Amino acid sequence: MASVGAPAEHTRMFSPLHRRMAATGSRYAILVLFGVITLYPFILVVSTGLRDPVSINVNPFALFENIRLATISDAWTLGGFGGYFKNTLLITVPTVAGTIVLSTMAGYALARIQFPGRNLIFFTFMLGLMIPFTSIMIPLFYELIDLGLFGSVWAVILPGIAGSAGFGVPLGIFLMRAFFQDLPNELAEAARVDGATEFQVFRKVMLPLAAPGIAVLGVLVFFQSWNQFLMPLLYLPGEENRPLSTGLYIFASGRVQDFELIAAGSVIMILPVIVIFLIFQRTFVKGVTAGALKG
Amino acid sequence: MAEIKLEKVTKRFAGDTVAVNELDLDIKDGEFMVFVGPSGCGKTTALRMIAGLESVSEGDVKIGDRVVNDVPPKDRDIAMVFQNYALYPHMTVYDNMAFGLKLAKTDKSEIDRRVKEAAKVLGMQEFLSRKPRALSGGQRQRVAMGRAIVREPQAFLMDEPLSNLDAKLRVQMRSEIGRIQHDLEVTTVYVTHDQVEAMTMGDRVAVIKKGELQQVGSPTELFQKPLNLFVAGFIGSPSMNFASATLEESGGEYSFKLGDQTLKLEDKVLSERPDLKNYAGKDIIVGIRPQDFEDAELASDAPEDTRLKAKADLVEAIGTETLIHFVMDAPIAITDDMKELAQDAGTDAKTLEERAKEGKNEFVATVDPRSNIKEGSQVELVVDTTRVHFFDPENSKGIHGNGR
Repeated sequence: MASVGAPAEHTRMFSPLHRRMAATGSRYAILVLFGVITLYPFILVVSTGLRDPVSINVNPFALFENIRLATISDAWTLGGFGGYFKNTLLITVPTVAGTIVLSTMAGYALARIQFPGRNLIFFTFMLGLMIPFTSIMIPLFYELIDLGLFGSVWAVILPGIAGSAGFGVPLGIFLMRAFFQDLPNELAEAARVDGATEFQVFRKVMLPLAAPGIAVLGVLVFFQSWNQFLMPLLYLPGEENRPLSTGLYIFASGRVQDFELIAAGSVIMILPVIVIFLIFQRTFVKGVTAGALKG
Repeated sequence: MAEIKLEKVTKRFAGDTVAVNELDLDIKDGEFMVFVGPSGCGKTTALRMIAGLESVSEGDVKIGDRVVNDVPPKDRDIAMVFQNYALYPHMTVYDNMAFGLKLAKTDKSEIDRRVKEAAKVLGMQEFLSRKPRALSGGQRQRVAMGRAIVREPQAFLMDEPLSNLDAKLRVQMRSEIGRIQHDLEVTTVYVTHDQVEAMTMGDRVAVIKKGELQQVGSPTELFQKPLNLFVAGFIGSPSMNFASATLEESGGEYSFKLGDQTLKLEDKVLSERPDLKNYAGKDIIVGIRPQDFEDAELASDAPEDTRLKAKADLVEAIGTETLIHFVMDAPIAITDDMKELAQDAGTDAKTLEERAKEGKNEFVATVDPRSNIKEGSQVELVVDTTRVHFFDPENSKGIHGNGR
């Protein structure tokens, strides 16, 4: 760097300030380019889902040429996406809730309670993250038939919580255990001296402080459960319990010409994911423990 | 309110580390007891055993008449203030204070009354709806105190509650905690490594070293009659000056020699410490508090045989007093206690031994601020020989006599 105020400076073509501005400018240009590449397909889908079907055939790539909200409601009613949406909720909500309840309790116990075999149990759970779904999907298929769960939403919820297709409790325990380990022990001790039972220490002090971790886990499991494809395809064959993912697939393979309905179905499927992400985005930031200890 | 009794309480950690060794202590009802000692001496472990956060390996902890060894913390009816406050970050100040009472299913109006009263005592009324992160260090400290007060427990346990505050606030909170404890008359055990805190706050102070109780007594007792070298060196600021010396006797007159300078002992000293006579002709360790020196120019009537001559290496005028650092030609005494003290002051045992070989010894004297002693000048200091302390170099114990 040239020293500021050096006599030769005014003779240079670019001052350090100009150079810095140029560097920032080119960085932004690259980022904008990548942003467009990433966003364009998404914008195209949203635009198509909101268009008049007639105009799509004329110019398929025109963005927001016209807005026709009826396309969305057509997909919801005529395309059956309303039913798929409901089924997806019925699968996702219990999966997320179950995973959070089990993972927080197990994670807390594995992080903060001393008992023999603690590490063994933890590593056994971690195996769940390492087994690929494809290696167990056929045995699980027969197991679900034997249990009489095949075709019901539970055929997807229970393996989802168990982490058969990844995530679920194994990921939850991994995340929550790490989170609880990081919380200061003095808080638990203070609560104990204040008269709390071990469960009250967990429920009233540690659990609220783990909120950012729970949010991360909840959002990850929500995304996965909402978007999962293979499990519902294998274990939910009928129309009755079909979720959005397989619904969209079957809809798209059956009616190739209705681009606007396929796009609208995609929007219906994507929208909740975006909303959830926006809501919980801030909770991702670990700021809650600030002030507990001298900071 | 209750008394707390420790009966031969021992804590052994895995690997046979003894953190607390056969601690015997009676803490009276309503008493403010301070545990003091260098870091790692087991004082916090002892406190945590009283709280129930640490199991007791041997011996009994009694609160009131009940042995509480196996009673979980929640059933001990005690309140604790932690070093880092341990406030619940997701709760407001009000909820932090009310938490214990809510768990005890106390009546809502009663909770409200107690929390508001405690907030008033602590001057925290306007902060009740704030979260801890929006408070300053001193305010957080107050909330931690408030959380203890509202419980109206049998005892307060405080683990270095002021060590995270800056010096000024620490002095202020020190007197505030003292006042609150005095008003509430709740038995309190207070752990600190700061001997000034211990001396100013405690009704009684227990000095602990390496898990063993050295002495327990009132601050003045510890200051005036330390039972061993460690207590003598740990209590008092600046700390006591120690040197090896020889006790000499001729014709019933006793004196001791620091290097080549002789200080005479009055009969009063010998009548107070009858055992001292047994050490005639032997080596002893002499301890002189900095406060027991005076500039000879300001005490011109002091007899010749109570004076020490030296060169003032460093003069620090604090205003209330003036500190004179000088070197004596008397060797440092090396005992385990001395090593421990040196370590606490940030010097390792090796440096201490090297200095001892040189036969020189750094002394500090605090003299009247009117003194005109200049750095680098030869000075004459008067020693109050009636207040000199004597220790046996074999076992580090104070030489007293009369069964002490």
